[in-house]
Parts: sequence; structure tokens; C-alpha cells
Amino acid sequence: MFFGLKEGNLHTPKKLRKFTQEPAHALALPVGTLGSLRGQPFRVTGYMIRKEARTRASWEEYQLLNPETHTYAQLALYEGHWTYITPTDQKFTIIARQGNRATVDTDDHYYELYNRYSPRVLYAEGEFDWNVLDDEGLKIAEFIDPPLMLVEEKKVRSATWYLAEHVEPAEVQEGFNVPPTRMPFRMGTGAVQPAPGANWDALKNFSLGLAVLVIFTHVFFSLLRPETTLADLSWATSSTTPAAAVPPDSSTAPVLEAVKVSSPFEVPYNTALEFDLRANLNNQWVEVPVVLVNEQTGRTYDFTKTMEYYSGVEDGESWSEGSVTADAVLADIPAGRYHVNLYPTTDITQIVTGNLRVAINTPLHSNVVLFLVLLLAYPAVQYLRRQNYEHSRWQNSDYGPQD
Amino acid sequence: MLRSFRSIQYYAALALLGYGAFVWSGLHGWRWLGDDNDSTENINGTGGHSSGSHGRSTYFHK
Repeated sequence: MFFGLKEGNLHTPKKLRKFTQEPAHALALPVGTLGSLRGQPFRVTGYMIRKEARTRASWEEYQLLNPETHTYAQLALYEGHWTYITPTDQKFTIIARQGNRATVDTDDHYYELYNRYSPRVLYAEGEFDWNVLDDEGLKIAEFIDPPLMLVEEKKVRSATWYLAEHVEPAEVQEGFNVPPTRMPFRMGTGAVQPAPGANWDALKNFSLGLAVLVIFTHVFFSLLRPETTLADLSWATSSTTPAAAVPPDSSTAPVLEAVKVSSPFEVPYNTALEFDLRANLNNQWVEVPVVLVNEQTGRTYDFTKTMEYYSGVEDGESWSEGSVTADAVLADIPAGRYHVNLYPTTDITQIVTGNLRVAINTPLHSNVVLFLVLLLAYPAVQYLRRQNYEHSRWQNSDYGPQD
Repeated sequence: MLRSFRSIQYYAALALLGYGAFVWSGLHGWRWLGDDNDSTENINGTGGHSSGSHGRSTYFHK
């Protein structure tokens, strides 16, 4: 039974309503519990079960009294998510947005409309300093900027604002010494439950800043040490006879591939060299083993590239495949004097010509790409987790971005 | 601002280490994904030239 007392007549309580619904579980904070929250001492003076007028969604509200300041606060509990609510004297302006969306902008926060409803009181016990049944005439709007929420309670001509904040269950449990068995199980995503990665802003700013710095550094290196040609060598295959194709008793000595040797060139510092090969091919292939020789140490670096290019007309349609160019990179080449040996070979009786360009300071784009991938992998995972989390949060709202 | 970066100190430290490696690699021409060098150093520190297959690899076309 719920009674009301009028000021000046405290001895004759008036029966207001008999509630048919009772709590289905033991209260986490029974009326009279003493504890503290956010550094303030509190006594639980009241408990309510409320629901939205138009839906089945119901939640619990604990009325808290600070015995030192004689001010009230509330703890709301919905599906295991706790919210600490305090009144504020500030007034806020609601800005209507596209569709049914609305926002409240403050200097530090951007609150988005999350819910509108009229409350119904299903159960109440304890003491309240107002007639809670009068709240059924309120129109309530909730605006969120997790972990904060602004709540507007609107009567016909006046509006009262409350500031709410997400509270971790452990904080309530510790502050009011609640036995673990009485703590409700948390389900789903709370309206103002912080998304994972509380350090998201710092992570985003740092990773994007460093990504920009990496790109600037790469450009700076390209300007500091522009790509320069060290050697440009024309080559041609000889008419070759592979050793395997020559009979053992043949008096004709097999002609091995001709070696082409470049002029010596200086590599002034430890760097990467790029080798660009081009061949004049017409329905042919050519294989070009390339050897870079350090003339001072004798150390060699080698690679082989095969180029092939075929074209024709078939069923009235022209086709082509293959490429007449190939490139290779030799990295971490020490300073010194070098030359290049080439051993181009192709089919017997055919001659293929081409050229080789050796360049210093080739930009190592793959380093940039790989570093950016590694740098942004963790922020990307965090971003996706947060997106998923926000999606889950707004699924409980009729005013979310997806609507 | 420093306090907010403190919350990502391990990530930031690792990222700055990576940036240092990136700068060093850029200055020394070192490619993270490796290069096209086929030679293997011998005991004397000189490479051996592998002359490749010197033959046409299997090739199919229309």
C-alpha cells in the first residue's frame, strides 16, 4: 500500500494506491541500507519499479539520501546496468535533427536522443519527498553521450533536468557492501555503458598522427635522396644452343649465353637498388639472370627474371598476355664499387634485345604499407569493436543512427 | 593530454619503436619484406651465383 502525507497534516496519511506487483527478487539495496557512492555517504530511503507506458520495459530505481547534505540522488537499474542520477539546475536546449532524432549540445558533450517515454509506477516502498505517482504525468526524454546521460522531465509548462552517469556494478557492490548473490546479472549493452577502449580518442589521435608522420617521412626521404640512375645497359641474347641439346660426339662446341657486363658504378652509401628490365619481345620469352658484383669485396647479389609476351588473333578477337618489363629490388647494398653481369637467354635461333636500368634510392613503398598496416591494426580492431558495441546499444532505441 | 596518452603507453612505445625501425630502414635501404636477392653467402662472405634454370619454364597460353 502506498500512502501520501500532506505538509501540516503528518498524522493522517492518505491511501494513494495499492500495488499489485512486488519485486520478484531480493533487493540489491534494501531500504535503510547505508553506504557510499562517488565519495558521498548515502542511505537508501526508497525503492520503485517503473515501466514505460507504451512498452513492457521496466526498471528499478533506488532513492538515496545524503544524510550530511540532505540532498537526494537516485540509482536506476535496468538489466543489470546501474546509472547514478542527480538533479541539475542547468537548463538545456534540445535541437531537433533529421527524422525523429534530437540532440543537446554543450561545451563538452554532444548528447543524442535515446528514449522518450511516460513512466508508470508498478511498485514503490520506502519514503519519497514527492508523490511518485504524479510522475505518471511526466514526459521524459533521455539524451546520451556515454558514460553520461541528460534526462529531461517535462510537465505541461516546466522541465526539470537530471544528469546521469554510468556506474559499474562493482562500485555499487563495494559502496553498499552488497552480497554478490544479490547483485543482478548484467545483460546486453547499457544505454550509457562506455564502449570498449576508454582510451579511444588518444589511440585514434596518436595512430593517425603517426600514420601521417610516416607518410611525410617517406616523402622527405624521396626528396632528400631522389631516385638516380647508376647504370643503363643495353643487352641482346646470342643465338644459343643449350648444352643438353648438343650430341656428346658433336664437333660443334655449344655456344653458351653471352655475358653482358656493365660499366662500373659507385654506390655511395648503404641503400637499396632497383633493377628495371625491358625486353623487345614478340611472341617470345627471355630469361635474364642478373648478378651484381662488388668489385672491392667480390660479394655478389643475383636474381633471375623471365619475361614473356604473346599476342595474336583468335576467333576475330585479338589477345595478348605476358609483359615486356620486369623489375627487382636488391636491398641493404653496402657502399662500394659495383658492376652488373647479365646472362640473357632465349630460344635457339632467336635474338632478343632489351635494356637494364639500375637506380639508387628506390622508394621502399612496401615498408610504408607494412608499417601502416601494423600501426593501424590495433586501432582498427578497437574501432570495429566500438562500432559493434554502439550498434548493440542503439538497437534498444527508437532514435538511433540506424533508424 | 599526457594523461590520456599514458593510457596507451604500451601501444605508443611499440609504435614509436616501429617508427624508429622504419626511419632506419629508409636510411639504409632495408626492405622489411625482403628483396629479390637469390645469392647465398658462402663462408668467405662472398656470394655464389646461381645462374637460374637457363631454360624456359612450363608455360601455357591460348
